Amino acid sequence: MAAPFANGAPNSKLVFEKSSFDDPKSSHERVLNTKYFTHNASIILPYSSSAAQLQFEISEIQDQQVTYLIRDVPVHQLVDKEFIEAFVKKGQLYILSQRRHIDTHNCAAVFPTGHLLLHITKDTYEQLGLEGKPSVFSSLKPTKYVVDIDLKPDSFTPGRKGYDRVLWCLKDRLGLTFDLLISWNPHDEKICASSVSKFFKSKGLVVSPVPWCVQTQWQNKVRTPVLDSTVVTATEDACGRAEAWEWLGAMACGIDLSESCADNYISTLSCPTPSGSCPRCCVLSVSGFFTPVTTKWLLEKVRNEVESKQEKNKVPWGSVTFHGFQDSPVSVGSREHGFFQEGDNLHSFLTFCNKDYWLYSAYGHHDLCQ
Amino acid sequence: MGKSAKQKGLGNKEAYQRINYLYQAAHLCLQQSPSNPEMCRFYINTMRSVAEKHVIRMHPEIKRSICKKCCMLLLPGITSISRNKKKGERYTVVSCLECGSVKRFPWGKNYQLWVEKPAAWQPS
Amino acid sequence: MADDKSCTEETLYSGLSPSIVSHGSKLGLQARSMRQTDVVKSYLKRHLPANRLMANEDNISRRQVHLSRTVKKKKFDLTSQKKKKLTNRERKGMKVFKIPKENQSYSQQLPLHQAWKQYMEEVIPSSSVSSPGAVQAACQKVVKAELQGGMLTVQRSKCPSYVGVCGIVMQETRHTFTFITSSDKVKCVPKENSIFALELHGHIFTIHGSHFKVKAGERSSKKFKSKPTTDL
Repeated sequence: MAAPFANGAPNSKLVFEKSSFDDPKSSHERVLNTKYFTHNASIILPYSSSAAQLQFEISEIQDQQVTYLIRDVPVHQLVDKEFIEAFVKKGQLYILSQRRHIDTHNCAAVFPTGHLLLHITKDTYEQLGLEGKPSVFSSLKPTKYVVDIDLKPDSFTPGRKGYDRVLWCLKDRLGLTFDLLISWNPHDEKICASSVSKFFKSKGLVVSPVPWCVQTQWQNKVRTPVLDSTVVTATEDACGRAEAWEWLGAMACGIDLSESCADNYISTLSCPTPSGSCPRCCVLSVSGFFTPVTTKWLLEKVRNEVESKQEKNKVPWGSVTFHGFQDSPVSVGSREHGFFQEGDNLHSFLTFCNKDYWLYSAYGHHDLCQ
Repeated sequence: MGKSAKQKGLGNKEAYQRINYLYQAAHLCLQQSPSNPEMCRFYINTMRSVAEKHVIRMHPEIKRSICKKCCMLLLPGITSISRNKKKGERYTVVSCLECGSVKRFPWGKNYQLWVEKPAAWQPS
Repeated sequence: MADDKSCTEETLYSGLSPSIVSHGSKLGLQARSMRQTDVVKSYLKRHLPANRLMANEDNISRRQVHLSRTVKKKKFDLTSQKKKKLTNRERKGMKVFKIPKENQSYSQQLPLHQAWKQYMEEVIPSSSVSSPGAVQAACQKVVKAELQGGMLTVQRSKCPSYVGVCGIVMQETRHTFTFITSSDKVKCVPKENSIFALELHGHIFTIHGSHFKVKAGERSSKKFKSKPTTDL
């Protein structure tokens, strides 16, 4: 017999925002700029005829946005003065540790703001010797600590007490190593983004590029909800935000929402009413290590699809969902992220042809949201 | 040092070694930095508490070279003043320069320290 | 002061006979000197009031002897001799056990550390730590041994700034260890919530400070019970 959870379902949070891309106070730029590490982008385009073109463009841009996986990088390498001068202070560097669970292992990340963040276990923290704070989600006896090192100041140079202590702790005290996902946007167009991989290869480390995994699913004769950007709660004329959210999730999971399957054992979900018939719906899923450059590009493409079509081929709305890493130490900006029973942190843009959008921000239990 | 410990057994051997080491350490430390008598005092204090806990009898030579009040090593001319006086009988006065406490040792012709008596060396 | 006239300024006691001095190196004799001038000078510096120090009266190279002055004999005061031990308040007032944090030198403590190594060699001979059973016995001895003069390192600590502190132990109190590091810094580290590491004969002994909070002298007779957890 199944035992019930003591506190019921996991306490997740969903934040809804309705705005327009033309609004100067729109937060879409801020959200995408500060969502440093994105794992997956799911694009749902009903009524779209040129989604195949989109797929082609995505495979083209993959060559430009190169991300690397480097195995067994010692952390003191990230504090190396040469590395800081070349990659941290110039351009934008995004680094995240891979194959480490945020709730049980040590994790590391570097942000474009020039901060090195170490999310470490209690044992590691007690042996390492660097000052840090207990995790925001810890109880009376913290099990995880966060060490934040600012790499950008000029005072962080060899010969100074602070730098020497950090280097000694990371190198001689505990030789921590991680598998890192790295992406670097150079500040100058003449410099190639792959110079970061050359740097690590010169240190004798194994560098491999991270390929994108693109999956496309076409569904014919799908029933799609009728949505109006001004109508947020469900009425007779249009579905509300909650119904749209459920439908998007069901489509992304590949659940069959047709009428005949309403009594299905797996799912009893059906398309919310009022709904319209769509001849062809494209569900595109791209997985990899994405930085804000890529996510902004993807949003632009989806907006193009939705906003630029003429009356005949009108696409009323489309959506793109950006899933963050479950094991990332931050969700958005410097807000701490953890894994409790789930580790979701995702942002979903539902864009309309009149340049309005609905933004859903979903967070898990161990997440901070405004 | 309590030489009668030879009959005691190995249980206390570590305690004797510790006391021995602390005494030497106090000497070394005073030699190294004569301007810091605190270290020397601290070691002698530790030595005394170890001896108290294990109820160890120390050789009178060692006891006489330590000031009872402030636990300072008494080195004549350096940290203490030693004078011979007479008042009825002759005695030696050792005064500690740090705390000012005074010890008097009368000169008894027939006086023997316990360790110098043959009875002390007999197995009990 | 009849005694002073017979001494030279250099030495208080007469030296060894020349034959021993010449063969000193063969006998393994090390020259040790505790110069009277050093000790007396430092004593004067500590105890003279400030105005007399300014008048340069601690300079003992010029000594004036007044022959015409008669010195009054002090009466022998019985009452002042009654107290034999210092009370805690007097002790704190005199600061008998406080080590000044400045002007300490690591190199001055090295001879002490050498003496400590010899002492540990006697307590735990290096030949005896070969088997695991012998190592256990050695652990028991370390618990009762003297740590002052030894080299300890803070291996783990709840407070990260103490981690990595390594030096010669100058003082051990009930709750703290006072180290002097190789950069001549005096660091006082609390025993609570720290784990210390001691290296001896190729083995590293770990001391859990939280369970070690006993005065140095009392530690040799204390029986330590096993604790449920060694977590900090």
